[in-house]
Amino acid sequence: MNTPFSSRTPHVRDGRLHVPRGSSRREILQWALAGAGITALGPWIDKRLPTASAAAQGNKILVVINMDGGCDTLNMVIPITSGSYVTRRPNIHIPAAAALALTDGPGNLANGLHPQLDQIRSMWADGDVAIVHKVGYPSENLSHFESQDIYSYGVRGEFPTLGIPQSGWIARFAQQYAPTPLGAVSLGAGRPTSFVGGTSGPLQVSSLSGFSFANDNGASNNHLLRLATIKQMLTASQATGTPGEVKSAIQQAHDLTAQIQAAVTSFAPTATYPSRSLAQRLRDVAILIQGGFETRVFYTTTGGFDLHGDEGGVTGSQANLMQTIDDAISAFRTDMVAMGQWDNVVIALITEFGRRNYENGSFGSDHGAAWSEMLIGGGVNGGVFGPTIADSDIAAPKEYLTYGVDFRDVYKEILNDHLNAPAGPVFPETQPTNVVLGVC
Amino acid sequence: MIGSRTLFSRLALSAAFLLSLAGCGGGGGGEVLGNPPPPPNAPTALAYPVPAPVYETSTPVTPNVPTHGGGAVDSWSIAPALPAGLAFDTGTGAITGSPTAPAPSNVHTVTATNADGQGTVQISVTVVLSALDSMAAQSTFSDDDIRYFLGRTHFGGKASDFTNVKAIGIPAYVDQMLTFDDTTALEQAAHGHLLTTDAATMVVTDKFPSHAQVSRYWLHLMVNSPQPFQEVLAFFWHDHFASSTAALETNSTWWMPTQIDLWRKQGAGNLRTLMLAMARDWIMLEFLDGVRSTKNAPNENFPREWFELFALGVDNGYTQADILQAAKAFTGYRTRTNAGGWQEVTFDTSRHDPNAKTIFGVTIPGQNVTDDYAAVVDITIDNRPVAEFISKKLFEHFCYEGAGNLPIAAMAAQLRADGYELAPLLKTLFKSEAFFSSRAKVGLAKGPIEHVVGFIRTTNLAPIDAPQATDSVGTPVNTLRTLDSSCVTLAQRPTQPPSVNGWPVTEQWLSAQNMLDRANTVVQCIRDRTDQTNAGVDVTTLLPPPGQRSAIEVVDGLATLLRVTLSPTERTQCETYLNSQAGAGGTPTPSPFDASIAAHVSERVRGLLYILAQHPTYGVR
Repeated sequence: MNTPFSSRTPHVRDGRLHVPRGSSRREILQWALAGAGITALGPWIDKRLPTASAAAQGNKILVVINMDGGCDTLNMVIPITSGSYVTRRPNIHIPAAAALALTDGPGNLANGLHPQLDQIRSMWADGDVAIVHKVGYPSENLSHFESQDIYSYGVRGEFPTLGIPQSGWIARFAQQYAPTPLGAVSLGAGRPTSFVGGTSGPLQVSSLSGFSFANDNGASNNHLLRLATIKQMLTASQATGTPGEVKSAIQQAHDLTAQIQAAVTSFAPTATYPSRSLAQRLRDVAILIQGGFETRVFYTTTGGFDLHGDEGGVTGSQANLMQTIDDAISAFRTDMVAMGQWDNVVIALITEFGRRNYENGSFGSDHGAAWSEMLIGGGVNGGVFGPTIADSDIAAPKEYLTYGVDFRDVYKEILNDHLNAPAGPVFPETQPTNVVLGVC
Repeated sequence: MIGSRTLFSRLALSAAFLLSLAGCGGGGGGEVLGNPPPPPNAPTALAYPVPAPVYETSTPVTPNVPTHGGGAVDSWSIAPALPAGLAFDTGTGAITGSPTAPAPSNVHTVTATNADGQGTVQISVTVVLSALDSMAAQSTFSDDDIRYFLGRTHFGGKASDFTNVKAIGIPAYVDQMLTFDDTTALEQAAHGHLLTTDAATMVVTDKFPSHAQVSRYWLHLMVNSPQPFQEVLAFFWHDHFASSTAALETNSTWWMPTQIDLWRKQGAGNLRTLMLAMARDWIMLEFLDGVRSTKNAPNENFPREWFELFALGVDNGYTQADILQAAKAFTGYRTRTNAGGWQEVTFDTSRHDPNAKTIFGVTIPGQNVTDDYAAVVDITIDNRPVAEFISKKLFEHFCYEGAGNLPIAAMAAQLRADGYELAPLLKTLFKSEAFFSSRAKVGLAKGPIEHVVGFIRTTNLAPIDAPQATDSVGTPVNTLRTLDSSCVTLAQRPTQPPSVNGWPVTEQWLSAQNMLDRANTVVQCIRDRTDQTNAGVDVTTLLPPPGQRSAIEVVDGLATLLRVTLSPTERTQCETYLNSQAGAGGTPTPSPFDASIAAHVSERVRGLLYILAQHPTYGVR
């Protein structure tokens, strides 16, 4: 049944987002401004500059790492006491003996980590790793795009009913708590849906070193003069209206690139980062943190998790993915500790769904639903949280784990308890589970 | 004595007073009241600052606030009522608002009332159709109008486009523009991006083209077409009837060139034909699940978007019941693999719902010979305001956003009268007063494609990519890889809109990020990788004629070419740039610009183009 909705506002239906065509840019902006509580007319771009101070954040940081494709978290956080896990995955399970024990630190007997996660296991021993089981949402959607949209937008109901414009949850966070372009930053290729909408235009760059005005190598001196001339002209410009908005955006591009390139140049890491792109993106995060920028939420994606075939177990595709994550986070941690920032950091490893309890005919696994989320950082309370995964959850005829903790319950705790940013404006709905975990 | 006097009406009293004056000593029949009554204070001498206003539709009026003499006014009234959209303030008599329809000259009586009486004044109000609402033909055109016209219809236009339009005038040019010449040779060249083995038939037979190759196919057409309006219009339709190759399997990407040519060849044809062809397009059938819609499981995805996004607009005259019935009608197509191993789409009567369906009260008879797509298209067009919806899309893309009812109603009426032929409507649109109104010329933000393709077409400077060893024979000399990759970065790659919503104009286009990415695409166009002395493209061709190539003349000439409006300060700053030699770190030393020095032209003219492309007015079309 369709819930009636206002015909001229964006809405979510069937888990898909719809923006009415014919929505003029002015209308979209008016919705955005109304959502920010700013009703004045005038060039909207001025409203992107921070006016009143946002809620006090301290210098707490969230780094969201999206494992793209649906991570088989049963082969990341292994249910080492489950017999069904072994019998239903004859070729791709990690034997309990090979899994890294979690008996030290906060202590846990039911789970072990993939053997490639040895450095994260050390962080567990320090009490810096929280694992939340059965993260998901009701009426799981097993489609990559549909489920990614749900995790990215962070609402299940209709935007107009909620009284907020169509927006990703990180865009809403930035608009509310860090309303400058660097308030939240996405690193890596693509434009994450979690950054859609909002009014503060959080930056999305493929890499920090790429966030600069490209040179004209055949005329580099003259090119510097060109850039200087452009900046002079922008300063002198009296443009208003749409050209005024263009002017503000270009000026901001010049300002931000200068600031960021200065930070890139002056970066003095302690760690050695692997060349894999996830590590390089975390290196970019470290640059912005060392540079003292106002970024509160970072987002990046690491791909390859949609392992319908030849997943491997102790070794193989999944193992390689685990190693990439382990090495990248370890290097990042080294720098955070050296900077004295590790306690200010929470890293969240998310994905759009887990995978089936059983292997398929191609020695891989198909799409599932609920998954186990790892939070890593000095700002984390170590331990295993959420409903336990029982053998009966994995045994036949269960296809996949069903959700026990709404994904937004985890985000809410991170926002409320770590970022000191009341989660209401970002996740305006009451979640069905409303579980209190105590992860931060 | 006043207090004891019986109170007649004020008028009666004043009349009595006058009579008593006139009848001094007793002439006439009026009562003699003895002491004169206090002077009545009825409103008098009512006057509007604009006593016979001629207002324009859709234009907020300057408040017309009356003045008056006499006592304070308790209330104002007007008869007859003002034309629609105008408001009358009963407390002040002020006329405000914005008229919504033309109205012939009419006399209204305004009455101001207080306890002492009334005053009146007449005001003659006329409402004329504002230029911004008028689909009537513009009568005179300036050179600026020509450049503005090219900005909206030619991705900005080349110098030769300006010359061609000026030679015959906009109206004649528009008539020509809506008749597309054959572009087979261009398409054959573009097919070189697709691994075609048979250039003559343009049948893709060799290997599956990739997503990137299909995008480059269209970029080739956009950049090279001698009739760019065909591409501008085609891209409009692609954005409106949006589908994407992004989620498609490799073995169905080869369907996309067919869809591109649908927009190009039918984009100025018949709307009914266009919409039916769109509904049956293989990419669309795959993208919105038409190929998975069967009599046992009719799929609602396409029918919902058909009504909501493509034909009518959200909630504009359809119900869930209509969607369900349309879903049953949109059944029967499926994919199959042909003998050559290629995916194709075919109609399968065993999957088609053979029963009757009823939409908007009109029944499609049950049958199982053909699909029901034409029936749904016809029922929708003939029973709902499709003409208004499409007219509004066209108007808001080409003229201005927030269109009122007047121009849209006029366009829809013409569309219906012409049997849904688009060419006559588009001719009307591009010659109209609304199109050339100051409202329209306020400007629309350029999307990324308009920005970069426009720059390339106007300057002839494009990023050059030589074919790679793995490219097939016949791949064009410029493989357009860099341009395609830039379009991906800019979030506007042709054939890959982010969703069925197309590319809604969003803040993202006016973000620092996008502006940086546009600048970095333009720098790919101006820089020459082999050497920097005019190799590749002779930028001298962009300069004013010899003898008119002083620094300031070059600045003015290129600003005009790119439709950039420079302030006096900016103009001087550009002139100074041209008259400078850049040393280490970009430090300028004075060096008068000399167009006969190759290095000056190569470095500084290219540099000036780069500077102008970052001017705020360049971001607006």
